[in-house]
Formats: sequence, C-alpha cells, structure tokens
Amino acid sequence: MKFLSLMTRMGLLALGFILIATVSADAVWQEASDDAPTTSKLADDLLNEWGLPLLALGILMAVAMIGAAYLVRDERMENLLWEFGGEEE
Amino acid sequence: MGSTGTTETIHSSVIEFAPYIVFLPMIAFPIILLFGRLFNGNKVWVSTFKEGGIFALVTMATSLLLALLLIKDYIGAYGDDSKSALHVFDWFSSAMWNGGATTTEISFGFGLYIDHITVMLLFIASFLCLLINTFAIGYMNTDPINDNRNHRFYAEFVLFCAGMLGMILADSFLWLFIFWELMGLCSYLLIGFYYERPSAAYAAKKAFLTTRVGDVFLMVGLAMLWHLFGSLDYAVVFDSDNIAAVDPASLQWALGMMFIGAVGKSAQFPLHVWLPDAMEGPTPVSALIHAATMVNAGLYLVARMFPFFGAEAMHGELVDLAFIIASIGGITAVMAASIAFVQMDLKKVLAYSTMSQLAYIFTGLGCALWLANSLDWHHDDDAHYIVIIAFGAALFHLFNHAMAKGMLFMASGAVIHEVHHAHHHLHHDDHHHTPKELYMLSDYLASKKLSTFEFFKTIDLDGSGEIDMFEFQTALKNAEVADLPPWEMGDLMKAVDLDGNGTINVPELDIVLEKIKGKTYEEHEHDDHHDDHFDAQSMENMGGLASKMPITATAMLVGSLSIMGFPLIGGFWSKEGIIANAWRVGLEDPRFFFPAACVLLGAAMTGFYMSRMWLKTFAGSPNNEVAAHVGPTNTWIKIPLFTLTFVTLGGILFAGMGFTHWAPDSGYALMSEKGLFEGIGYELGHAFANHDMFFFTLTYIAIFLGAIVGPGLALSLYGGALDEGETAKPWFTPILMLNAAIKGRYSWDNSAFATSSLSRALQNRLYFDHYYDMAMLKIVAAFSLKAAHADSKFIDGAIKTIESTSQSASTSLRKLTTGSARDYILMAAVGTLMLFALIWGVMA
Amino acid sequence: MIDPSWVSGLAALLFIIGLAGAFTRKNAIIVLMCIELMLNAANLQFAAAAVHHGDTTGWVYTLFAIAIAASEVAIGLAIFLAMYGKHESITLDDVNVLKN
Repeated sequence: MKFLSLMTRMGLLALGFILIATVSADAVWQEASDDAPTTSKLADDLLNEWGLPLLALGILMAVAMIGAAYLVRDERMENLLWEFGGEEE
Repeated sequence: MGSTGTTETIHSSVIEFAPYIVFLPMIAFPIILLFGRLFNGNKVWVSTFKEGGIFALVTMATSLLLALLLIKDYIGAYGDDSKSALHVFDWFSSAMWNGGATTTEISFGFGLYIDHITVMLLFIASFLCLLINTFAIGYMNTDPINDNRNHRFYAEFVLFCAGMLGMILADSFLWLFIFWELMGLCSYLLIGFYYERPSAAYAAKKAFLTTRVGDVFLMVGLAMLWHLFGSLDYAVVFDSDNIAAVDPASLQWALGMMFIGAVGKSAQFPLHVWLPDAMEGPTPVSALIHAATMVNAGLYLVARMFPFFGAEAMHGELVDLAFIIASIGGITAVMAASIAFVQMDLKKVLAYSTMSQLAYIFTGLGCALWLANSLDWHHDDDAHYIVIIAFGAALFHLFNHAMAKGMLFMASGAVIHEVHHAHHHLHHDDHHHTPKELYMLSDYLASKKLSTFEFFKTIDLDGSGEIDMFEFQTALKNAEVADLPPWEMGDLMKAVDLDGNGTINVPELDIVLEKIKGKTYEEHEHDDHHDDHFDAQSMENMGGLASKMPITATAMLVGSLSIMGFPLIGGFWSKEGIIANAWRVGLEDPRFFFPAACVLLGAAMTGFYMSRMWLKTFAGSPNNEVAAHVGPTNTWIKIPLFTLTFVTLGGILFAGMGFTHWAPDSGYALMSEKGLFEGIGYELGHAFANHDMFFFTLTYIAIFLGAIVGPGLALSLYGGALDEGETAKPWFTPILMLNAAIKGRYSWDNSAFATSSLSRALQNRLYFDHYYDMAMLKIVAAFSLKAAHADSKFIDGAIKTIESTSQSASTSLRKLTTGSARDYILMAAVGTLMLFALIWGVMA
Repeated sequence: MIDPSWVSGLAALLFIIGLAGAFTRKNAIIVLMCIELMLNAANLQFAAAAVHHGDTTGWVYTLFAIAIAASEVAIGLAIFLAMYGKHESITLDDVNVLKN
C-alpha cells in the first residue's frame, strides 16, 4: 500500500512536470492570431453552425434530469405495496 | 475394384475377382455377428442357418471356388516371370523428406501378389477352411453347451479365414504383418471361446502374449527391412538389383528378427508354450488354427524369404541364419515328440505332434535355404535341381501336414464328441441322486463351523440374494470341493435349485444340505460310476472304438500313417525328402549333422507316439462303459473326414505330378516334363531305388525307424484285439491282428519308464511354463510396478503441479480487485494516460 | 490581455491537483469535486486555445463541456444517494463488495 501511494505520488509529480513543460513549450504558441473572438461571434456560431449539437445537448440534459430523478425516487410506498401483495386496491 | 492389374506372363481372367477371396469373409464377419445378435434364439436361425454356420459355409465355398479358378490359371503356366501382381487400392501416400531438396513419394497400398507358393497355400487354406467349417457345423451345433453362442464362433472363424487368405495374397510384408496380427487376434478370441472357464481365458491370454513376443521381433525385422530397401513391397524387395545393393550382415539380422516372429507364430522352441494350452478352444479351432492354417503363417514367412537366400549377391552370406532355422527345427522336433510320449489327452498329443511336424518343415526350409545360399544354382543345372527339390520337399510336407493334421484334429473331435454324448446318455437319469460335491460341501461347512446362511453370504458375490451358476462354481472352487466346468455344473445346480428358476437362494441350499447333514457319500449313495469329472478328451475313457466309429478310425489311421511317414501314404514323400536333404546338407556343412540327426530320431519318435495314440483310442477293449457305449458320428463331421482321407491317400499322385518341383520353381509347370504315370514311376524309383548309395541306405533307415521301430514298440505296449463280437472294417483287421500278436508275444512292462523322473519332467512339459512364469514375475511384474509408480508420481504429478500453479496464480491475481473505488480510479487514470502517451508518441 | 500560455499552465496545474485529489480522498463528494476540477481545467485549456487561435470552436467546446459536466454531476449525486441508502456511508473505502 505504502509502495503504491509512493509510486502514485512520484507518478503525479512526474506527470505534472511533463504537462507544464509541454504546455509552456514555445513550439505550441507560435502562430498567434490578432483578433480575439467576441461574445457576439460566439452566440452567432453557437446557434447557426453548432445548432444541431446544441439541440442534442439539450435533449441529453433533459434525459439526465429524468434519470437522476428516477434514481433518487422514494421507494417506501412501492416496497410496502409489494410486500403485502397489492392489498390497497 | 479399380485396379491396375499388372499381369506378366500369366493372363488370368479371374485375377480381377481375386480380392473377393479376402473381402467376402471379411464382410461376412459383421453380418454373421449382427444376425446372430438379432435372431438369437430364433428357431429358424438355429436349425436351418445353424446360427450363422451356413453363412460361413457359403462364404468359404465362394472363396474356395474363386481360389480354384485362380489356381487353374496357374497350374499349367511356367516361365521366368510367372507371377502376377494386382494393385487393388492405395491406402495412403505421403512424401518423405530426404534432408535435401528432394522428397521421395511413398505410398502404402494393398495389392495381391500371386505366384506358385501363394497358389499352393491358397489352396490349402481355402480348402481346409471350407472342410473345417463343415466339421464345425456338425460339432458345435450338436453340443448343447454351445447353444445361442455359435454365431460368435462362426463370425470369428470367418474373420480368421479372411486374415489367413489375406496374408497369403498380400503383396507386401506390411500387409502380411497386418493380416498376421488379425489372425493372432482371432486366435485369442477363439481359444478363449469358452470364456467363462478360467483355464480357457488363461490359455487365450498366453497364446496372444507369447505370439506377441515373436511379433515384436517381427516388427523390428520389418523396420530393418524397410530401412534397407525403402519399401516393403515384394516387387521392390525381391528384385535382385535391390538385394545386391544391401549389406548382407544387416539383411541377415533383419531376416533373423523376422524368423523369431515366425518361431512365435508356429510354436517352435522357445516360444512353443502356448500351443498345448490352446487346446482349450473348441476342436474346430484347434483343427483350423493350430494345425492347418495359422501355424503355417510362420512357415509362409520363412518360405517368402527364399529370394533373399537365393540371390546371387548374397551367396554364402546367409548360411548362419539357415543353420539357426534348421537347428530350432531340429530341437523342437525332438522336444515336442518326447513330451507327446506321456500325454493322455488326445488333443494334446496332436498339439505336440503339430509342433514336431512344423519343426520338420522348418528344418527342411533351413536346409533348402542353406543350399540356395551356398550352391551356385543360377548357373549349375544339378545345383538348381537340388535346391528346387529341397525347397519343394519342405513345402510339400507343409501341404501334407496341413491336410493330415486337419483331418486328425477333426477325427479326434469326432471321437471326443461321441464319447461326450455317450457319457450323457449313460448318466442322463441320475437327477435324484445328490451329487458327491454337496456331501463334500456339507463336510466343509461342518469343519469350518459355518451356518448355511453365513456361507451363503460369503459366496453371494454380487449381493443379489441369489446364487447363480458362476458364483456357485467359484464357491465350490474356493472351498476346494471341486473345480467343475460349466456343463457339469448344470447337473449340480439342478440338484440344489429346487424351484428350477436357475438360481439358488438360501432356503434351497438349506433344505438340500439339511437332508444330507451328517451322512457320508459312500453310505448314502451307491452308484460308483457317477463321476462328474468326466474328461471326454482323455484317452483313459476310450479304447476299442475301431468297431464303433469306422470312418473316424480310418481317417485317423490314414492321418497317423501320413504323419509317421509310412511308405506310400501322403507324408512319406515329403518327409523322406526332408530327411534326405538334411543329411545332404550335413555332408557338406558339418554343423548340420545336429538337425539331420534330430530329424531322423524324430521319425522314430513320431512313429511311436502316433501309433500309441491310435492304439489307445481305437484298438483293444473299451476302458470303461462310456467307451463301450459310443456310436458313429454325424454326417456333417463325416464329409470332411472322408474327403481328406482320399486327399492324403492320394499323396502319391501329387508327388507324381511333380508337385515338389512345381511349388518353388516358377520355371517349371506341373507335369511339363513327365506325364503322371511316368512321374509316379520316377518318384518311386527315386525313393526306393536311389542311385546314390548314401541316400539309399538313409531312406531305408528312415523307413525302418519310422514305420517299424516306432510303431512296433507301441504295438507291443498298447491296444490289443477288439472284444468278442466286435467287428471292424476289413482294412483294420491286419493291424489289429498284428497288434494282438505282438502284444501277446512281446509285451513288456514299461512302468519303469512311466514313473521315472524323465517322465515326470515330460509331464510337466519340461518345466518351460514354470521358468517362464518365474521370469515374468521377477522381471515384468517388477518393471510394471516401477512404471506404475513413476506414472502416478511424475506424470500425474506434472499435471497436478500445473493445476495447483494456475490455481495459486489466479488467487494472487485476484488480489488486484480490491473493491475500493479509489484504486479503481487510479487504475482507470493510469490506463487512460498510457493511452494518450501512446497516441502522442505515435503522432509525434 | 493575459498571455494564453499562462492560462494553459494554470489549467495543467489544476488538472494535476484534481487528479491527485481523485486518487487520494475517501469522501465520495470530494472525489466528485476533484473530477469537476479536472473538467474545469480542461475547459480553461480550451478557452485559452480559442483566444490564442481566434476561433470560436474552442469556446463552443467549453460550453458543451460545462453542460455535460452538470448532467454528469446530477447522475453522480443520484448514485451517491443510492449508495448511502445501501451502505449507510459515503466513504469509498466502505464500499468494497467487489473485493477479490
């Protein structure tokens, strides 16, 4: 266990160094462009070019909501009913 | 049959059908077995089809017919290449890598190879198979002990015939070996036909294992031959160019190994121990396998080795092997004849006689092979002639012996059959007497202080609450009361099995034993003839049967005379030939004096024991009332006896036809040089008025020993005139009168010989079995214990180690699944990072 | 404005911290938070790249990632609720039914 955590820490440290070195290497940041995009351009692209994925995302989120709601439902009533074999009706 | 027949000078139209000679019996085997199982017990099957006997008969008749047609094509043919080969099918082909860039194609196919030796043995085998089949129908189907299991007999019989015929017709040593093994298997099955008898099962095992020892050597020999020649086909192996290219010493070793295989199969010293025990099988089996066909397989193998010995390239190289062959023949001849002196069992006398006569043929072959190897017979006409008649004499003796011995065994079977029937008739109505065995059993229980119930529990082996015949038999044997064969258990069971349901339960045993408790057999029962241990095969139960079974007695007389080499009857022509040739070789090579002397001595001994056998069985007065009650035998048995009597008597005709010259020499055809009567005249002159002084004296010495000294001794000791009022056929009268006269005048007491230690040694078969058993125990059993130990420790141990290793590896691997989600996150992250690193490395 | 390379560096650092936390913590909600942290670091990286290259595609990715992260958290919390109902604790060490 101790060995494993030691290895993990060393690995993380190494990973950290590698990542920062890679990210701040000069070769990556060569071709800079002058005009940073604007918010209006963002909205424009979002609704026109990326419209379909946006729709999909919306549906995904809806489904996720429903799923989450189902997962945390309160089952006490159902359990009781199941136990006594539907005597309510 | 999709064949590419390569016939050479013989144009035979039948050869296309020749494979059927072998295939028909082979197919008949499963058919008979199947029908036998399906229709077991069916009345029509039993009475009309003789439980498969008729099927077998028809099959063998067809094979014989095809064989005869084939022989007809060969009889008049002669020429240097008068053999044909027929290729039937290719079994499989493969290529053998030669170590370089080349491969040699090798293919194993089955084909037929037919030359004059083949033809002679083919005739013997198919003819005798048919006749013995006829005999078997008369013998097996009329004996109630065989009811409902004859189909097994006929199926195995037919398979055996297929094996023999296949071996004779095969075109390579490989197929010879395959059919050889097939015959060994059938021999095992048939000897152990009465498998419920421990002695029969033991004998079958012994036969198979002993011939197996020989077969191992045969396999080694064949492997060496393969190594030398690259193929086992006769066409390749007998080719003189190929032989010239081979190292003689290795060839001698290879042939020697193969000869040991022949020794095993033909029951010669030292692998002879199985033949006497093989008499446990039914008599048709003894007749076919152990007199007429299977034991000839070894002889056939040695005869097939002739081209090696006769090849010019091997001149003088293989003489040592020829000497070994002849000596083993000589040793066995004398040894077997001496053991036959003291045998009381009719079939065992014939078994030892077989051994002895086969030894004669081996000696003859050995001498012929020596001559072929030493004389320059390819160029010198006289030498050519000598080699031919030497080899021909041996083969002719094979022919005569097969016919005569087959007939003798069948005749003895007839005698045994009738004695058995007589015994049954006499003691048919003794049911109400309590058998002696039960008295002994009661005494045994009293001495061991066992109650009936306790005893019952110990003998009820399968715990079923009832005793069947087998358990009762075993129980009686363990209590040392009696060791009865199954057909005598029947009466005993009937005495105890009161409700007749076939098994004994406790109340029945109790009632029966209570009835006789405290009484003894002698007081209570008063029949002194009731002997449940009646041995139908022992000559003690015979005597004076010449008047009661005329045809059988004649057959046996003619057969015995043929074997003894009595002048003018069948075996004489060949036996004299063998003796003459043995001495001829003895004059040239002094080593050969030993087999030559053995062969001459054997002639006298043969005369003695064969006469003894005939006289004890057929002459004199009956030894007990069973013998007096015997009647003549049935038609099925009489037909083969009749036929073979005439064949044996006709030996002079065969000799006159030039048989001895024809078989080995393909450059000679029957009656091509002399006509029949001229041939007979020539043979008579050659035998009785030979030009060469040495051989003239030799012939007369041999005749004197074999036909006068030997039988004379027997006539003075055994037999005698028939009883008053008994009439025998006219040709017996001179013999019986001579017997009575000699016995009356010169009878002498041979009890000094009978009780000597030599006699005891002979009765114990010279202790060979004893020593072999000891060797087996010390060597084989110890080795097999070690092997079993190694197997359970090392081999099983290896498997168990693999198992336990994988188990522990699995257990340790499972520790990776810690169940803790943190570790799983770690694992997932590490995996993903590695994947990225891989892609990054590949991309960059 | 800010040099995108520094933002990128920050993103890398945050990622490492999130990773270390995910390996180390035993409270399930903290682990979820660390995962969110990693996601956020990736978002930052995207944003910085978008600014640097002048392309809005990076920003679109960021929005999408945030949305998806939200759904994922919802599901995750639902799972934690169920886990609590079963095992009476949300310490990851106590949930080791799959051990060995």
